[in-house]
Amino acid sequence: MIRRAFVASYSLLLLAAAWEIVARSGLVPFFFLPPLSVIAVTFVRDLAEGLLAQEALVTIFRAFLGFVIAVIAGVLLGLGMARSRLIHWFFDPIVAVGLSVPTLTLVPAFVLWFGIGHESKILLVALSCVWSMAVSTYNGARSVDRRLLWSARTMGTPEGKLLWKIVIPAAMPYIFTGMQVALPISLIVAFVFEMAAGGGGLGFLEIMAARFFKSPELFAALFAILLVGFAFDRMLRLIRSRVLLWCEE
Amino acid sequence: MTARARLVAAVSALAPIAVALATWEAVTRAGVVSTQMLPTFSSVGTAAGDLVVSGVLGHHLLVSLYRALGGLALSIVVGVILGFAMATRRHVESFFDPLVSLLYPLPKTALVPLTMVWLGITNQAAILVVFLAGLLPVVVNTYHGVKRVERVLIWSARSLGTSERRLFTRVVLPASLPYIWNGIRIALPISFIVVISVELVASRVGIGNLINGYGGLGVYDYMFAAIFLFVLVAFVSDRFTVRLGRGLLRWHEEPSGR
Repeated sequence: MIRRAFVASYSLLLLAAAWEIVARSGLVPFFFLPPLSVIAVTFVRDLAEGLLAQEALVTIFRAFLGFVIAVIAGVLLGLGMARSRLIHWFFDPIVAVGLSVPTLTLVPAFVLWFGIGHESKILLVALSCVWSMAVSTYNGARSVDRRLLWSARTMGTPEGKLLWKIVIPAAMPYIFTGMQVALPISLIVAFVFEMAAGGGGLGFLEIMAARFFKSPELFAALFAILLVGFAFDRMLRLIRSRVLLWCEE
Repeated sequence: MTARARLVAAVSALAPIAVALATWEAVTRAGVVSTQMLPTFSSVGTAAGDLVVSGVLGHHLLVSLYRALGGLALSIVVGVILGFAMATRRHVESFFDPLVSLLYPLPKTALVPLTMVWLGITNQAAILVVFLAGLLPVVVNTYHGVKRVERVLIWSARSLGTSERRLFTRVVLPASLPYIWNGIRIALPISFIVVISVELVASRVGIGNLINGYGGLGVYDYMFAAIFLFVLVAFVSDRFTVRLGRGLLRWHEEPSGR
């Protein structure tokens, strides 16, 4: 077990050792690449002081709330587009534009409209994630086997129940795929917004460290971001495997 | 489709966007939304025309495109080579696999401050982040593409005496090309996003910087005009890649469901 873990990750250990040696040798300036051990100490110190956890919670709150809003709005929009031709006609081109737009260009506009606190970040995250949710939900809802709908209807299933019992479960794998696209976007938007406009959070912490050339703090923040990204990814996979037990991958 | 049917389809597709823009104009003109918050669409249009004609847009756009496409080109070259090596050489795979899985969930824009410290506020710093952000999608897709080349194809080519080099150019590369293309299509919008992030955070030129600068000065009609024009560029380049992919991979069946 330990042996296998070692073999599986030997390259990481090798790189970590190389990093430490190069950084200690004085070949590169300290601010350029501080030794891994110094970063680890900084990371633990910032974590113990509560700074990292506090800023991480701010970022996670913004990214996750925006993501949840986007999932709800996107699923509703996708279902609406699948069921109504009018909604489809109106939103299809708008979704196409929305999908290909780098929403980060709107950061200065969102600062103008909603300030630099939580609202502007949450709303921009939601706006950035909603399109892929709408598209995947739409594709999922369209993929429902017609025969399932017909047989449910002939047996007198009311429309509302049809949605809950057939359309949404059938669309679920697609919705999860949309979430897997949207979740990293939510983090990217939250971090960049914090870097560009301030207002706390891990992105702000990192950019401030960079501005003052406090490299160990910079790397500590970077590792915290990596951990948050990793945790988001794992969480979604776990939920997916629980919810989609019945669905073959 | 006949020309007439195509025209009808185009008008019907553009109508909702026209409706949205008309609503924008109406609410700002009527004063429902203050022009301090959102300039009228017509004033944004005038500003956009000015940005295009005066060459300001072109100047900044060229810088942004240079950074985005330069970084993307690097990630394609390195990513394809690395993906091929990982798929065909066991020790390369065992070395890079943990690295790829470790770095995959990292939101790559978090590397912006790091490259700022390393390379300063330069084009190189921007290109480095774009490269790193686009690298993994290309690597992972190339890897899967090569892994999924049918063994039978390789066996039969070998049994017919195909040299290893020819095997690569005639069998493995064409068979994995749709996957590589898919990786590039994922990396392209990422490169735009990353360039904008870099330019919002640490740059003196580029579209992101232009938008941010107008925002800071409170010149909102020009800010929205710059946003609007860049959105247009991003949209057109996305459509262009889709078309290009269809043309390049005409012999390949579209994977179902997407």
